[in-house]
Amino acid sequence: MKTVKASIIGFGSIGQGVARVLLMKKEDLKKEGIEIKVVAITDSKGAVIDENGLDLEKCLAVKAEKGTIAEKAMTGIDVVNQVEHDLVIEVSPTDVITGGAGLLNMQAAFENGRSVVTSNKGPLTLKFKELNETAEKNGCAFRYEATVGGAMPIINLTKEVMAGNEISSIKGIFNGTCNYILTRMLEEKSTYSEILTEAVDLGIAETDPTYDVEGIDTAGKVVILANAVFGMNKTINDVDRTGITQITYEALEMSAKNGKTIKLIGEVRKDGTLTVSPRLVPIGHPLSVSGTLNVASIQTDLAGEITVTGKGAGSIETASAILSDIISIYKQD
Amino acid sequence: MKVTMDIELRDEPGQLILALEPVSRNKANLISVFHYHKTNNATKTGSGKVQVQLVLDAKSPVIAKIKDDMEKTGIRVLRIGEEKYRETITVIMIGHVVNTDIRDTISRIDETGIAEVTDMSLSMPEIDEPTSAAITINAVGKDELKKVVALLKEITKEKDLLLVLPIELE
Ligand SMILES: NC(=O)c1ccc[n+]([C@@H]2O[C@H](COP(=O)([O-])OP(=O)(O)OC[C@H]3O[C@@H](n4cnc5c(N)ncnc54)[C@H](OP(=O)(O)O)[C@@H]3O)[C@@H](O)[C@H]2O)c1
Repeated sequence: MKTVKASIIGFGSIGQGVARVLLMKKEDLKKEGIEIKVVAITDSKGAVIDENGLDLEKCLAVKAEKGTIAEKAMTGIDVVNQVEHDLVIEVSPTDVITGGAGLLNMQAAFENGRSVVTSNKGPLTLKFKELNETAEKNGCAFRYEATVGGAMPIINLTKEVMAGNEISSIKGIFNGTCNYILTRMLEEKSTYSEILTEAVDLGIAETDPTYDVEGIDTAGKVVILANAVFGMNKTINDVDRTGITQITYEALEMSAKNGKTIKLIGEVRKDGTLTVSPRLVPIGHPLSVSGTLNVASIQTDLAGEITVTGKGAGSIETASAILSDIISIYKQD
Repeated sequence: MKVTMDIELRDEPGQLILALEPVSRNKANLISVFHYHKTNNATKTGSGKVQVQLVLDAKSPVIAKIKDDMEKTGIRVLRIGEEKYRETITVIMIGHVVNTDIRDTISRIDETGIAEVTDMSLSMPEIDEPTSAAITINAVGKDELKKVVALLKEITKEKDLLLVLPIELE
């Protein structure tokens, strides 16, 4: 049995999802020969630490009751630098402008010889190459399946399962909020702003939806795919980006008359072109999935076209991708 | 029926007139001539030779007669294509489509000689609100379609319109 000491940096929707999934899958992990001992958890207020392993059930209850798990005034980076452990599960908020605390946490993790599994896109859209190099130099694993498409497998699928295929392009829907808005506009014969209000009320869109609707989130994912799958060295500034704010109900209706729908499509091509733009997708086409779903279509030389679809967000769904990354690191040992 | 006819001429003055003479004599309807000065549909095919593409509308015996007549004057007919337009796409434009001179947009596509706008629908919910337009374009072939899409991107950028292109397009 391999015992892995881990920290969870960020205890919001995804951090708590990870805790739940670790509890749910404890026995299955044992069958893989892995025992995960969470020795530290942090949120914005501070940290809770137990070198012998925290009681995750209790941590979830405390967070629900008090709004914070903080017992010590330690930040994420303090934990990464000072608490002895093997794996940092970095699930703090995304910041695509500076990389935020996440970037510093990841760098510190590698410098301390700790592996990182993350759902936080920010650092990867800015410093992909540097982070990978630092990880490698320090003999650490670095996994980030959850950063693109939540539960939908795409990075490990293309890098491992489909190894040997030459991939010419990947295109897909990588933002559930935009997909929801476009789907509902047509269903409800409503304007963009009417459906945006509905999406905010339902918690599908943020109160400031810029990040999603202007295609920034999708662009971040396109950059991660370009770097991870195609070995490019791109940043978010390399993406030719258009969002969905100008899409009208009338345009959706006209498209429907032509047997098409409008989707916000992110695309990486082998030639280094990265785009995010609304595109006309034939109804019935593998990419014409509705609601908050994500989908990706991979063009390959041997396998032809492969399409995967799945939930792009959600606490347990995203945590499932984090769990599969954890297993793939420690199963190999 | 509409056909494209690729012919090879000597790169000398008067050759094109010579080539067009059988067209008018046989009363075929000449739709367009793509000359190498204007488009790269006409390319130099060898030393002192140029290729020109004609688009004609005539019955097939008439086309055959034109071909014979041309060959008698020493013009090589390289290829006769049945249909003029082999590619078609529908795109969406959103914004001040009408205010930015929709007729100019259409004529700039038609003027390329390699494509034409065959259908258009407009929807304007209210004055001052952005207009949505669906435009169907036929193009001679795949390469020509790419050129027209590049032109459309240019026009929509210039006029500050959102262009929504089909997913199949590269
Ligand atoms: N939600 C999804 O479905 C989804 C899907 C894919 C990827 N992601 C990514 O996963 C990450 C986490 O998302 P989430 O939905 O769990 O966000 P969230 O619910 O907002 O949770 C963020 C957590 O991080 C904590 N935090 C804030 N600043 C911190 C800092 N400097 N150091 C340590 N912790 C800090 C917050 O503390 P408090 O609890 O005290 O506020 C909170 O616990 C983000 O990067 C997000 O982009 C999310």
